[in-house]
Amino acid sequence: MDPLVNEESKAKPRRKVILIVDEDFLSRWGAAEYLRETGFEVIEAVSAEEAMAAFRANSAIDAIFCDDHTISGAGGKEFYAWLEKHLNLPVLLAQEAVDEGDTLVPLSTRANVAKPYAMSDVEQRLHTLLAAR
Amino acid sequence: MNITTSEAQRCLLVVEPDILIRMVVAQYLRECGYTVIEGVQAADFHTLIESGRQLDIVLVDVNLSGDVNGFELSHAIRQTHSHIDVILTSGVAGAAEQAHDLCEDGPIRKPYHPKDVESRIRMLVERRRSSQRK
Repeated sequence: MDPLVNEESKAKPRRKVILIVDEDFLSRWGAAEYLRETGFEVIEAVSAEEAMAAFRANSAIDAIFCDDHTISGAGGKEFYAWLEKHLNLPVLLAQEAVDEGDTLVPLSTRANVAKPYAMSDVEQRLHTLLAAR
Repeated sequence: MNITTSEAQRCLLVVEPDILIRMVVAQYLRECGYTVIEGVQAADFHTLIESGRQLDIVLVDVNLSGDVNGFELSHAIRQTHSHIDVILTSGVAGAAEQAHDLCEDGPIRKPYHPKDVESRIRMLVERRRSSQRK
């Protein structure tokens, strides 16, 4: 291997890829822009169906940041079942009201953030989830 | 890719309802140095404008969900935001004829390579520069 290429790859580790699932344009845009500026690569999905399509197309997704309202809509159950069956990725769920006893999303790596959330909080929780993988 | 500072500062809205197309073209254009915002319907354009965000180019598919299709959105942008360039994309036969009044270069036909979009953006940017010099 070219030593220069090797050194470059050492200096620039692969950016972590976050899949945002949120049907609300302003929320999704704001979250995506913030996470890109803080060094993540971001894929944006507006529905559970789109999220699953993104997974099929890109196996390099490291974590998911999803909105509970979007996920509870059409395709939500299938999305959760699909996640449980095929992958074990960190999931950060933005919820209207966070209930630690809530078992709606039976994902072992799930974390919550209450809406309205600060993006700095989301970023910190994503880093924590990714570090625990 | 030969990116200048002015290209890097340009902001694009990609309005594409198919995530598999949207994620590829948006990522490619980001790698070209553009700021890219992703939308899926015409309302996203209006929400963006109302937020005060400056926009240079809208890449919009002819077929959109919701009440307004890509032709109608292009027409509205041309009427009220003439400083914003529009690129139409389409997989629909006959779209070129329908788009004649909206986009003199015609729509980019699907399937397209993201390079085609980048080439069209460069052409529009240069055309805009030339018209401003006159």
